[in-house]
Amino acid sequence: MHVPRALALPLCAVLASCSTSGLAFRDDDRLQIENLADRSTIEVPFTLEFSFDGELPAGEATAFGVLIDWTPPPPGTLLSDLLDDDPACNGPQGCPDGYLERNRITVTTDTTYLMDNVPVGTDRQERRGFHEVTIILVDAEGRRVGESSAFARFRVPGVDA
Amino acid sequence: MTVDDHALDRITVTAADRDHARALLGLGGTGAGPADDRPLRTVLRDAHVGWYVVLVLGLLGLADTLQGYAFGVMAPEIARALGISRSELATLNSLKTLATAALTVPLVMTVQRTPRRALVSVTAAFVWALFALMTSFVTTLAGLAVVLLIDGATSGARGTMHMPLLSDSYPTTARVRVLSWYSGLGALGNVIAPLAVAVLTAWAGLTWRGVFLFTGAFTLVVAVAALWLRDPGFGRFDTEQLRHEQQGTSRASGEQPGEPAPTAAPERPLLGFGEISRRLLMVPTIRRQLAGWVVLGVMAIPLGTFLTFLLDERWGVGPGGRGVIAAVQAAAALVTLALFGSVGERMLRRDPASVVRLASVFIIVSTAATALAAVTPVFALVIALLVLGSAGMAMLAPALGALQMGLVPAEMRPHAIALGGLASGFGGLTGSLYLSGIDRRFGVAGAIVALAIPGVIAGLIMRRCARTLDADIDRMVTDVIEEARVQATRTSGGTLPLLAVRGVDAKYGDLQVLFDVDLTVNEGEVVALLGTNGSGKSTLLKVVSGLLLPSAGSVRLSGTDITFVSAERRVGMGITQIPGGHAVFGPLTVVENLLAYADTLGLRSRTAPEIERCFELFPALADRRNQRASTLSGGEQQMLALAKAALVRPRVLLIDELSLGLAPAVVGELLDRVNDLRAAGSTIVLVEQSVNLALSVCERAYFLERGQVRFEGLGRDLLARDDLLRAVFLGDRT
Repeated sequence: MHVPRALALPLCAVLASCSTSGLAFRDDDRLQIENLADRSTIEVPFTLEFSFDGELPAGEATAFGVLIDWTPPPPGTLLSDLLDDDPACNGPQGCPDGYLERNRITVTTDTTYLMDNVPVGTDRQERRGFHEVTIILVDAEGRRVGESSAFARFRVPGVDA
Repeated sequence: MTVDDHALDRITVTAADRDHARALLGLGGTGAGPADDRPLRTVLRDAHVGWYVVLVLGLLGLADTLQGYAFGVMAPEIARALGISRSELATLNSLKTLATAALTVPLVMTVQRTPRRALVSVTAAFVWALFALMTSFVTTLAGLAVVLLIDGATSGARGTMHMPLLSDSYPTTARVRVLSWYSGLGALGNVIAPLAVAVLTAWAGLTWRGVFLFTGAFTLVVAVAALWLRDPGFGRFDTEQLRHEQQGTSRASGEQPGEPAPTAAPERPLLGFGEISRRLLMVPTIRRQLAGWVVLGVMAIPLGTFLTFLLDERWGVGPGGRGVIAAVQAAAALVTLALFGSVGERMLRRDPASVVRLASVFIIVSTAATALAAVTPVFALVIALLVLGSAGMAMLAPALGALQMGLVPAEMRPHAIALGGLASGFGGLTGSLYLSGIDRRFGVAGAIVALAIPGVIAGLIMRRCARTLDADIDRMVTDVIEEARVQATRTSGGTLPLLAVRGVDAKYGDLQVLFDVDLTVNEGEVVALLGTNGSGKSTLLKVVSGLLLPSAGSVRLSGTDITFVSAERRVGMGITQIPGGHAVFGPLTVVENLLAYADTLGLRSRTAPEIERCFELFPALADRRNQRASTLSGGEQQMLALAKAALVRPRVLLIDELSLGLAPAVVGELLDRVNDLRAAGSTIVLVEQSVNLALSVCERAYFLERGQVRFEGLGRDLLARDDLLRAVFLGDRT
């Protein structure tokens, strides 16, 4: 058996993708959604309220990223990277102004967010799954900072309800 | 050299031998005494084996369950932290399943020749603990993918090594109970895992990274505890015990099974993974079991995912509630295992087929209960049906596992499990495709109800295993006894025939061509194989040369079992066949034919002198060395075929239809060459239609009719048997 040799490659691959800084081993509950319980049903438009316990760390996170029905990007990457495959964002200028917001990816320094463009399907479609809202920390360029996040699932009554 | 006349009689295995052996192995047999009703601890104490192996392996299983559960339940958190979508996570899980199935093959190959299953298990545990710890520090999708691949590989090691290791570590009278204990510890993991994850996240406030740090540390502790695992050797309590008994070295009362005994080491060719797999696939019960695993995989592997969505979407049960339900299901499984251990032990000892029949009933009942749960409008009833379903399925691992362990020789058990894993993995992937369409159209409840179809089919397939089980256990027992007796004969100085075919059955698909055929050829003999068209002569040659595997019986070369050795390896061992009528490559020249053959057989460095030697043996070919084989006469083509065979100096040369379509003068010359080969040391089996021709060069003959040996003896005696020769050879007799 050549166990050491067989393990060398995967070991190097995993080590290359490992980090020891900025990782959360204990719950980071500084970021909280205040008025939307997980798995609740809401009417849109809905004003989401959230809070951050303490000051945003200077030089690092300066704002919040609010994402509806998007998996947040990995720490260190830009929110706009989520739209990498979108032809509208492939030009040298990146995404057009307001394009991220229209796709329900918003950067805000406020702790409230008006959810008014949640895509709502038929009642049957809406009952089969949840929408998701995720709040993360971002820097001035819209780059995700750390692994802190707040998350909730919600349903919206369908258009034919 | 002649064979010890009594050697073959001593090797022959009778029904009474098999019956006795099955009783010894605890797999039925009329000589089986009452089941061992002593408590498990008493059985283990009397056998001088402790609880350590089952506990450590069970804890490794528990750690695997814990980690698997943690990954499943914390998937959304992992996805949000690493920025991975749900579909990417699903792909990663499929990758892990694939790795679990595919990487079992190289793992099994590491233990097929040397019993080092304990070493592989411990190494896998440490590797697994290391990567589990590293999971906590992963920050990218690629890193997570590698971790899951390694996790899959180590899970594969657990699946393929643990059960054979347990089977060889404990007496057969405790096998089902020990396997139930092992499965029980795995089930206990399903009770503990939700509680542990709940405590670690809710009470200790750990994130998924913290949870993996904990599970990695736990696995590391168990891996350290497993450092004292030692492999007891293949078949310590069953097949080796039987071998020792057959070699007349039954253990003294104070001697412990598994300790080195003063017997001759088995002289068996070491089979490769492919050869062992082919050997296993020749066992009808194994084939049926594998078909059952494929269909059961269609149902069982995607079932967990769909049940989660059923509870989530239809009944609004969150992760905590689902954890509690999983724990209740696991507790029910534990109860089943506790009850089944002793009952299964008794059933296995009395009638192994009854265990299969019971397992098939449990599969069907469990499937029906789960399907009903999907459409039941009362939540309490849903839970009751789910619990019933999981309780029923719990007994499959020890029941079918113990049977599988009893059905194949000890050194091939990891392979049998690996093949089962590949089968159920393939079924699982098929099931995902099958269900995704149904889910889209009928929703999650429709998908679960649809799972009842493969569930019931799997139950019925498993039930069919009962039909062939007894015959297959008998075959395994016969192989082991025969092998042991051959070794005993060798040890006592007895002489064995160069080629011995015993009790061979052979089939083409469902068409059986050979029936219980025996053939014995001594060193230096020329033996004729005669018979009508379609009597099975050529098929018998294929079985000897390895081009066709027998469905029963054995083929031995100087006593060494080569039944499942590949045809290529048999050439290296000295068996060469000249196929009837198409033994040369027409577009190649004479010398190219010889070069191609020499090259294929790896004779390159001594090709030139060997080819010149062949031309000396066959001077007619030397003059035509650069002529295309297709332009040679029929006789010359047969001569070239003989020259190719002579190139490798065969110990056993199998010649199929040498004289077909040739003029008598040409045949006479060919027979002279056959005699030359015999003089050079080859033993020859000659298949012929012409009795006169065959008996002109052969002392002994076999006559086959409809796949059975109707005559065996001296050629002149065969000529006196009008009853055999009349129908076919009447005009040929002089």
